[in-house]
Amino acid sequence: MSAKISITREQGRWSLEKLRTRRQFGECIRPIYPTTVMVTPVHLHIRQEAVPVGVCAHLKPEDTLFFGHRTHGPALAKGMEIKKLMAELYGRTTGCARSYGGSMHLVDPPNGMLGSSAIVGGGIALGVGAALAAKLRGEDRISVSYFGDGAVDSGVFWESINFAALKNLPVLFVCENNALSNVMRQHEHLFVDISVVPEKFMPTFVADGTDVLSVYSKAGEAIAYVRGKGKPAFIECKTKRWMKHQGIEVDDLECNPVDRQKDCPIVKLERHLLDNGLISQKEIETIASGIESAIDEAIEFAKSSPFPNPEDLIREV
Amino acid sequence: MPWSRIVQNDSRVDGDRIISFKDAIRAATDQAMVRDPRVFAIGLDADDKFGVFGSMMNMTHPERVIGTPISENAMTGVALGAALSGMRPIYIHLRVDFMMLSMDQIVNYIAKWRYMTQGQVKVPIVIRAVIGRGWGCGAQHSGTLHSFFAHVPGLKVVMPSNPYDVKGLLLAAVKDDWPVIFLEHRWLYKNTAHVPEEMYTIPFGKGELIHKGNKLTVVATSIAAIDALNACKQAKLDVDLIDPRTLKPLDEEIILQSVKKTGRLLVIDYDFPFCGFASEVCAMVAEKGFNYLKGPVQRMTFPECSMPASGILEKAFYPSTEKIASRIQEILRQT
Repeated sequence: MSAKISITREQGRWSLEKLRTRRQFGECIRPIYPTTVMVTPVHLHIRQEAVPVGVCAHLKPEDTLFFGHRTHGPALAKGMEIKKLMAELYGRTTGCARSYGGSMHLVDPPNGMLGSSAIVGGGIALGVGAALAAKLRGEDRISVSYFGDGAVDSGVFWESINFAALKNLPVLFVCENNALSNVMRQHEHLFVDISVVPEKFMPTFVADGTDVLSVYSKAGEAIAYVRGKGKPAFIECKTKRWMKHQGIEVDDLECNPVDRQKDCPIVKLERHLLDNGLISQKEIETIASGIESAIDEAIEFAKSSPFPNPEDLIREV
Repeated sequence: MPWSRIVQNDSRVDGDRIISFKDAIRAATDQAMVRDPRVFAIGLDADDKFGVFGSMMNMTHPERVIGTPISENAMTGVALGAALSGMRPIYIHLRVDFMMLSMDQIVNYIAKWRYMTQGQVKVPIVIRAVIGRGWGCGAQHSGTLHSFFAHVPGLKVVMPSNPYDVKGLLLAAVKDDWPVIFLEHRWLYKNTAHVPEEMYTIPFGKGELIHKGNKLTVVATSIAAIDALNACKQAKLDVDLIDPRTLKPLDEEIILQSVKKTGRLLVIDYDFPFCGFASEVCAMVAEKGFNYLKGPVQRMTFPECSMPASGILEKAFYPSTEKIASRIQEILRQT
């Protein structure tokens, strides 16, 4: 699929750097996590990186993004600094929420992230509300509700797409469909295919969520529609979950077989860029080592930051 | 800022501009929407021709009154998302019982957003709900349930008892940068009193002594305060009657000062007894005013069952002016 989509050298490098940042961030947590310096449940995003990168490539800082418990990918893609995220996981006051939020509750208002929720489904409605605010105030921005396939089971999903369609609100619904709701396969929790429901309400796009170029292309169409018409659209990005629902272990469910070459967004993009002469192996290595340094710097920053003061337990209640 | 020059009044002012409780709500909402374009109203039937028991009739900005599908959970999330994005929504529930459908958003999201983000985003949302009995409305259309909300850190809970207070407290709620639950008893809607034309706010956490006496401190909110006031007047009871006006924050000082004088406490709470507001006030006085007490703290609440429909059962279920008077007289006889 990648070969059909034309991409410039700059776009390719940008996408690869974003993908690799997410990947290397996730991978760096895996050896650190068992040492218990991060006492917060992490829901790693490893190998699902193509979805937030392909979507956020089309967003401006003032566009709002509401996402769920699997936060790291969308947050970094939307512009959160690595060190603020790292410090939040380390429980330090320099974290994005002074470490009162933890991995599941990230916030970064200047980059359009007004908070995230770990109760599956509810955040979908917040994205619709931000779009309502944009419409009422006549502001030229859009909102994105970002969720997984498990959230599609919830009543709040249906209530939200219905209201967004009724009121013509500039919101993009993004379903990162990793085909698993915790350990439940999709056909065990959802009677129909995901896109069957929203297509009755709004233009609905389906992308290959393991391919950043596919997501970039389809999200581009969807977001152009939302911005141009001021109406909602839906995009389902079919991906695969490589990690367990929570924690640092690779998923070993028999129902979730993954091909480590075919399903990896980074392998796919690098092959495409190399085959088309848009990048060299050396450049890839330079990008990877640059990210590694940035992550090392973020870890040092987090480790040298202060813990919150227990006397500040009751603040901003 | 649109809200910086509004006067704050601690206690009622006299006058002859007599309007009803519902018209005071309407006036406050309309003035808030005219003053501040960020204010909008949203809710099931918020925009219908009956105008939420008349409290939303003939608004100056109908384009900012948004009726919703029966989707309370998502719609509360929509209001929250709008609030986080700089709007000041007033969410309206025709019955507090319907508000139970949005408890995920209220408890997990709205109440906690400030703490989880450490105040990096403001949450200026008001949730109005009509509470209390109608006529034979039964178990699912007569709730009060205020203690649910007061239990959760991050929510303020307001229960006005009269037209003057409802206007000032509603404007204070809309002005507030953080979430406020605003509960209105439907049997108060037709009550009338002087309400100034201009905008004013009443501070949260400031109760009012609405009847003075020496033998007993009575604490009652919303319509219970009105029923208790009528009992005090009709039976000429020698009691202090305090209307806290806001459950949370609670004006502990006004209650403790009164108990210091009377030595006795009765809390009248039109809600279920277990883990309720009455229990909270009693616990507070037991902790902080134990040495003032001459007898056990007492509660007068609903019985431990749901609201019935039949008139004769309603009469048995609900407290009333007569029941309050005889309960107080019974306590006073023992002094």
